[in-house]
Amino acid sequence: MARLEVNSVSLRFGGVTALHEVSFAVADRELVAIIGPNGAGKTSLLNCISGVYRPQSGRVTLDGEDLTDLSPHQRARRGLGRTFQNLGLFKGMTVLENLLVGRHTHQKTSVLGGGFWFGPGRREEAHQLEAVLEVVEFLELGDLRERIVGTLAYGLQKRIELGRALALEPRVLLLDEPMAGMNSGEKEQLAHFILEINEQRHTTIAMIEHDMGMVMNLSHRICVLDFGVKIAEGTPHEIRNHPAVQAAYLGQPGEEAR
Amino acid sequence: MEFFLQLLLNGLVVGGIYALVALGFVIIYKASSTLNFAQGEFLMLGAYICLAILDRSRVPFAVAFALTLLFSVALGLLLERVVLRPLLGQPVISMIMVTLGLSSVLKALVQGVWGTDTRPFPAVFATEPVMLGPLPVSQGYLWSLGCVAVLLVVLTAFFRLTRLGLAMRATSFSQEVALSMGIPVRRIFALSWSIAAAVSAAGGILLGAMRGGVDGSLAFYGLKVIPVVILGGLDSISGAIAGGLIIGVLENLSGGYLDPLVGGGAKDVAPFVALVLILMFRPTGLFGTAHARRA
Repeated sequence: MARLEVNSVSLRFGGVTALHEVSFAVADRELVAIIGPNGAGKTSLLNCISGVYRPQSGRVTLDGEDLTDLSPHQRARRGLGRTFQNLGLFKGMTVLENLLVGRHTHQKTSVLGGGFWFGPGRREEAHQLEAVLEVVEFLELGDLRERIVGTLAYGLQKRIELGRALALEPRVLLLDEPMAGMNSGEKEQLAHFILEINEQRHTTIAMIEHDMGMVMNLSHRICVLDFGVKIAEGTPHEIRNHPAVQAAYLGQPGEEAR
Repeated sequence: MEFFLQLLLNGLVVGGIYALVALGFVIIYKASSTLNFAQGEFLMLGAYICLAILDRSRVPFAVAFALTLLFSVALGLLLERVVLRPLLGQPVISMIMVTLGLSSVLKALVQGVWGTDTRPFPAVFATEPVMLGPLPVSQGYLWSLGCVAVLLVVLTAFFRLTRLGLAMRATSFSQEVALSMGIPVRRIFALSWSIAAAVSAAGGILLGAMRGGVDGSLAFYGLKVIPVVILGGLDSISGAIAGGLIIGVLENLSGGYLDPLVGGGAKDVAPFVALVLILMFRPTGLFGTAHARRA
């Protein structure tokens, strides 16, 4: 059974079809990239998985459990962590506070108990802090943990957002263009973290990314969308040589320029 | 000098209560971008409920105070569920209109149950003044200042240190992102209404106890707090606190020094004059977040 399964999902906005019968699956500990030209429906697909959009038809399941009718926060509670294309950090908070928000689903004290700073609530906070600090160490953010996120460099913010999703201890990590806007050094560094998350922390990852070099190097499998339709799926090697993919990215041989 | 200190102290006492009510305003604005025009009615209702508890039973004031806060929390939850949740996703102006309607309904309800006459509030604070240096100070003022200070510290700690406070701040930044972190945003809304109702009720009780009477005019404090929140910045907790104190002090100083010169009324005008001046230089208030935005 696949860890994450998307089953013929269709999404329309009015008359516009954003996704048409898209199906794909991610196995446990797999790293799958979703690629496609701009407007192909990649982020829409991610939003259908995380629950921001409700598709008109189709199902999304996590470890066999149907998520389709759950709201985004219920899906997060079941182990879907995500990052956003244009950074969804809480810019006025410190790095540590941002990551602590990521622990929200793991904190068990009740509404009332969670409001107080003593007793079981306090032990709980200490435990959460430990979990967060581990992620901080892992992502080499130690020196920055008390800094206000909005004041930090863009590449760092991307890494902090990854850390916040990681603090949720997700069963599946959804990354929406984790390397967009980074320079090659920052990309290299982030790629190294993503690989470690996948290989050493055994986290299953579905990732949208435009940098083809990175996609080819990092992913086990690649799923290609074009105009809301899945046009190909396979290993990096298969995708590189897939005629439909080449056509989507480079245009059809013999086709007039549109 | 003594006159000045007396005015300053009066200003801080009233300003502290403004700060509480303003905090309720800000909490709701941060969570749901709505202005709650029923804030003053929350305050009035709190005073009446506490009075009713004190009239009917022999419980000490502190217990009546706590029970009133509990009642307000429940009221906040109920209002969020019944009145505001059906409006989720509607334009903000609809939400604001509903809070205006809510203020009329609550006012009518209070007048229907308790009438329009001023009702005496039992003397809960000892009446003989305490001497602070040369300055005689009413004990009610000191209690009020103390209560306000405790509430403000507790609430600030709540937002800074606890998981729920963090979740509320996260929600006010972005609902979509908060949801993706597993935060149940609707419950956060309900919580923000509860806190807003409770802090306003606390302000109402303290005002009732200091004035020795409760009537419909308490609801006007909701309107008086609007310059406070705009001054402090609609989305800033510390701004609400600072703004409350500033307006309270300004009001009393101008009342004390200007009223004899201009023949009265300066007290009511001063906050708005200050508001206009400050907004000319800082359009988002003293502590508000500036947003770059296309016109």
